[in-house]
Amino acid sequence: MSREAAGWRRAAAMAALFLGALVSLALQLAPLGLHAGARVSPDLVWCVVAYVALRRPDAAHPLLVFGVGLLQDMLATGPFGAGMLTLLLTSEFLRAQSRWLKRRPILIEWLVVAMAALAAIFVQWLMMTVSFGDPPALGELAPRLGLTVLAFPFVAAGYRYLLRIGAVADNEDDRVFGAA
Amino acid sequence: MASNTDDMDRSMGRAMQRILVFVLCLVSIAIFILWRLDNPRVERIRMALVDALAPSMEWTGEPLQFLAEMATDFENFTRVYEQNQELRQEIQRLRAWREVAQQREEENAQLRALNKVRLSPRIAYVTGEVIADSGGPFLAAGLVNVGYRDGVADGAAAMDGAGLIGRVVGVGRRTARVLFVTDYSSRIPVKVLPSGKRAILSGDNTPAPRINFLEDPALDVRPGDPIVTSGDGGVFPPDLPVGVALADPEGRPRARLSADFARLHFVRLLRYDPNTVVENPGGLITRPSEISPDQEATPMMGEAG
Repeated sequence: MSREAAGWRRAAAMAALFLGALVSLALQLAPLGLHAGARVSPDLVWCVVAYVALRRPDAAHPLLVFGVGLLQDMLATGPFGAGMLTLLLTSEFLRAQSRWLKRRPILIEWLVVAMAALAAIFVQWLMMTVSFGDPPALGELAPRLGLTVLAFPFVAAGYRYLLRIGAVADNEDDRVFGAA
Repeated sequence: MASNTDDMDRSMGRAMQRILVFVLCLVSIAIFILWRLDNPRVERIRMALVDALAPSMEWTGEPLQFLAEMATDFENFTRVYEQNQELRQEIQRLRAWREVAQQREEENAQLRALNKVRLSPRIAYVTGEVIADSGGPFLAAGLVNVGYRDGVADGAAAMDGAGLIGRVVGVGRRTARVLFVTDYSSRIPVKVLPSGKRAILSGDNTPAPRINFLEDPALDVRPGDPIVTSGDGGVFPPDLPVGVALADPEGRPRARLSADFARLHFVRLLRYDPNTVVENPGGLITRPSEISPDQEATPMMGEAG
């Protein structure tokens, strides 16, 4: 594939990440259940970023991921700054694992994603605790973690089979930045 | 030679990317610290962005809300006969209570007139619609489509038709963020009726927040006691309905909220100005030499005249 074509594919993947994150954020913000206990929903924005960082690491540019995290933190009332940080760290971790996971079974990839999701939620909880915030108990966050991990395959399937993002061969990795 | 150049370029690119990631992480941590230290200012910046995106949030939220309401309506349709019976019984009960309420109102007015009691100014409010659920696992909050151009102030109480739902924690020009009473960081000064005992309603992400800081929970509150705001601190108006006391399985007092969060569409944000507060006693004290003989017979400030 020519360098120009690779560049266009990369731009398309970046646009797909951004638009997917916007759609996920809109779903998250819909006022469907405001009562306590009705608020458990998967972190679809995280799923989108995680998938693109794994399957198209060249498209998950740190600035783009930072922008997505900033948008999410500003609109959704989470710990402002903690969401951005965990999204960045997650995308870098998964980018580093992307080559190693390419030849591994899908379950191994899912397990790695689950561990990354757990670490992301734990880091946010830790930041709130250390700064004398009022975070929920770790057990209260387990349903959201579980739903996020369960939602990941659906997000991955949507990107891979509908948008054809991530269905690339080895020799189409971006040569400018490359995966770590 | 060419491949060496390519390798060097790739190494340089990776190094630059790592530096960029490190800088962005530092920026994120700095934003977090700023948010924890200076919440109101950061909240204003947040609300400015929400103001810009509020119309699109309404547009995207409506279809989903419509689908959710369709599902609820279908569920309700299947039990329409039972609901009809329940509603008929409720109407009969309410008719009886209406008579009682009218009698009480007349008695109240007569008693006030006898004691020459001056009522506090009426509390004004502005009604808005919930356009987004901006909450998450760490915070329970919602966005309302009224802001400071409509007279909404930071800290204003938010109610639905039945009871308190929370308070305003961020105000933009056209939107406001409401922190719900069920949130972990929500603390509302309340009092238990009829004893009048003061307590704090503490959210814990359950539908029935805890009632803390009662002197003797076993004596001060009983299941079924009404819970209202106490007005302590001057943040909320007093006597706003909050809920009804109940005991959890461990015997700890909680409040079953009067507000219906499951059907929360319209919200009232109260515009409350407490009565003038005397900040120093100097204005109340007059030197004896300044009192004229005519003024000695005049009732002092604060007494019913």
